[in-house]
Amino acid sequence: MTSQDNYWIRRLHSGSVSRRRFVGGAAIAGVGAASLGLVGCGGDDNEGSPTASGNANLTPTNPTASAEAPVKGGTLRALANIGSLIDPHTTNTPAESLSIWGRVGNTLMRFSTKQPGTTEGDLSSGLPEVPGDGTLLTFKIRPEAKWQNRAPVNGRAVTAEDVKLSFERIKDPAIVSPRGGQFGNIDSMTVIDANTLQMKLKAPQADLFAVMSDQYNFVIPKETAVKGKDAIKSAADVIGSGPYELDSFVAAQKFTLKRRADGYWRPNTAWLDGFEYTHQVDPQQVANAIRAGQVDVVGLPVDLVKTFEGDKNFIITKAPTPTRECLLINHGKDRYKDPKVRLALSRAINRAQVYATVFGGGGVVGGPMTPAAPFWALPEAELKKLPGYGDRATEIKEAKALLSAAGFPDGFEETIITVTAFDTEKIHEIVVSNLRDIGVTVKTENVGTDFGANFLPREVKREYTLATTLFLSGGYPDAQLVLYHHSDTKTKGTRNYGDYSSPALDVKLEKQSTLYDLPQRQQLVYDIQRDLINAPGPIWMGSRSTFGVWSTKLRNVQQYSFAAAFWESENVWIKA
Amino acid sequence: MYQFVLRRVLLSIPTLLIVSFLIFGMVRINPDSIVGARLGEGYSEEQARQIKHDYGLDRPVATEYVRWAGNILTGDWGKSAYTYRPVLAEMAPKIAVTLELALFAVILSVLIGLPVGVYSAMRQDKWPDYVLRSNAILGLSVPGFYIATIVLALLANQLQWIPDIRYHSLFDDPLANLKQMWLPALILSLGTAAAVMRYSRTMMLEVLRQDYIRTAWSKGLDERVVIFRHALKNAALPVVTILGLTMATLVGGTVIFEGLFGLPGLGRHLVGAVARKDFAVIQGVALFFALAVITINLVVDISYTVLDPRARR
Repeated sequence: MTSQDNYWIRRLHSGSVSRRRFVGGAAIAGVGAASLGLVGCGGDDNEGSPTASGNANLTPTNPTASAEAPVKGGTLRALANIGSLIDPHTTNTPAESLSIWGRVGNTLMRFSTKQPGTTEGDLSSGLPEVPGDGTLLTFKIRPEAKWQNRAPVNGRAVTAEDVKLSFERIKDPAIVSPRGGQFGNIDSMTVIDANTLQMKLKAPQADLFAVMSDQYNFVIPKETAVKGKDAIKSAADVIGSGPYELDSFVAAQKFTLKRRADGYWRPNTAWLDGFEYTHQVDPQQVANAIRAGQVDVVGLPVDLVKTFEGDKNFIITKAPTPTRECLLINHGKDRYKDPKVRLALSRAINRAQVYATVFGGGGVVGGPMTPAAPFWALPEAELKKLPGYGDRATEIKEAKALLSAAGFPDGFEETIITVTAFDTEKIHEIVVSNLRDIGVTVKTENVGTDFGANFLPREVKREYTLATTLFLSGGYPDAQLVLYHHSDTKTKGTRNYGDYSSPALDVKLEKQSTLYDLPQRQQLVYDIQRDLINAPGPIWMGSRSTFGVWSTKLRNVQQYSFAAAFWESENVWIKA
Repeated sequence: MYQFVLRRVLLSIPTLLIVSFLIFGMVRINPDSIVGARLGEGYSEEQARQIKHDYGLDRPVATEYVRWAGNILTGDWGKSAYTYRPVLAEMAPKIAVTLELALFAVILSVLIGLPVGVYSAMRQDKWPDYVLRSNAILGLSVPGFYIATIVLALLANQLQWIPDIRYHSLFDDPLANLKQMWLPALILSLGTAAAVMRYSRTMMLEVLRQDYIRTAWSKGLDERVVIFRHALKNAALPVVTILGLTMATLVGGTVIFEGLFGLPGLGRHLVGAVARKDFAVIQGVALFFALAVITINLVVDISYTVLDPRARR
């Protein structure tokens, strides 16, 4: 705080406070020094839904879409869990990545909102050229894309070199980026000219476009990128090519964004004058804040969302997240080497009950691909015909028959580990009761409340037989299928904590990774899901939903699946 | 007097040492968890090694403790693993917020508890006494954070009003700051006010039975003179002890209250650091809270001996 900011000094200078009072005021401050020393749009992924959802509800709701012409102006006030790291390449929290960089920056590619789960160009003028064997990608950078008018870039054009150095920075082990491995398949990058970047891949990788659209993989100026680990530490270091500039940032307290003064290069977007974010994570206080009119949008869990139902002052939006609830099976245990036993467990799990009971109806039953990526997930109509997704009586009957055929006519006893975090323990209760229906008696081992410290290591070290758990990863096939099912657990299936192994499936998994043709790849991804449902590895249940409560004065509000298409906030405007 | 102060200061040192062992040791119970907290799941061994090195987790605990304690004594409280800024520099602006909230709550607890306690004693076993004592028990038995949650929800739902969620510094805008602080301070003070009320009532009743008070009554002095000039001073003295003892509770209470009311103080800073497993910050804030409570109790002990010389013996 500067002396000009200090109220007591200002009052002293203006003569409206006596010197004695000033000393007294300063003394109060002196005691301290001497003697002592949300994501606005949607909230976190630990949320549910007010109404039962099916795949029909996957399209993000947009109840205020209107024919009104957008007008510029107004500040959108929101709450978030504000952290301290504003470096998009090293932070691991959505407030900094989505709420700041989602408005300040651009990615090379971005998630499509018209076809959720697929990508389109952001700084790239479109999908890259992919000739030959699919290992050479040529991106054309939009010539109209400009950096904000701040030193040292001063509004210059975004170049291919900026993109190259940004991705190299993420890959650099010295940066310690949690996404360091995501670009491991890029063998080399060559700047052909200012607007052309060529990437040589070690192997074809269709999902690289999704990786490039990730909420953390923003393109930064080369001048920033070359500064290394400490390049982005304050608001002044945050320079992007997006519609807004970071005006102020106080760690764990607040930040403000303002529309870039030089105008955004993408016309007819960025209607708001700015954003004002305040730190608040307590869900009840978040609800209080929007009720009291102190903010315009909040993310809330389902129980609190319900309190806004029917209130004409608010709009409720929802969308499933890529978080997947799961019963993880350790395939190293003899009993589960028999696919009949695994399928019996899968058929016994009442997925609809999980989302109806634990998440108050807020969530979508799904298979190995999250329903949050509807382009890739099996259509609901087909899913219902597959084992584990039919009517309850049939599923139980078939599950018992499978157990009998596997030599367990009377069921068996089993220990399942779980954790009291992210509602996992509640899902576990449903799982226990479901398995009891087919004669499987469960002994629960709850490892406590620290998912990262006590639960995840048990999964990673295979110190379990069954685990009620959840996984969060990107809503695209490599992240949802290869990562969790490929038998090469060192390099490809690094989250295949159950050591699921199917050489035939591995071939399909690897093949789909290389297919740049969307319809062709979609069919193969469908096929893989059918295989995994008929001979389960992990038993996938579906995805929970995320919710937003918005003031009705906001227009063009939409709820998207967690991090996908965060850039759509460019279109939000405030009706005066 | 000086010997007493010296003895009390020396007695604080073992307490501080034990506290420092606990603070330093507890955050290292599960060193692997910090890697997961920083990197999620998809990290390499090399990245894990780097994180452990950054946090000093690849070195012996005893060596690290000696280094950490030595640095603390020289004013180097380490750097946040997230912001890379010095822990003390990060804590400094937050200390004022927490201190203001705690002091505000102490002042309110005295302003509420002392007169109510005195009044209750003056009306012993009459209906005002019963009502006030019942309320005091309520204040002692219902947690402050619960009252705060209910009050905020009621205000938001019924009046569409809550204190401003955007923090206003006392130094920038005192009026806005007080508008923001009065409610959390008031609710935070209720438990302490109830304790002060109960204690001051008991002490007042004891003092009112003393011979010198009977003498004052027999001299025909006015009730106000007897109560405020003769009885209150002696009755209020032990209340200082209660305030010292409740400071730890108040400081602990700020951790929750700062979160509820959106105040950027040390308590909220601590909660954030725990979530991020930012060891240096957790150690720094916890040590600061421990130092504050020990110092306050030391000051209370010393001030008590100044007010009542018999306590020095």
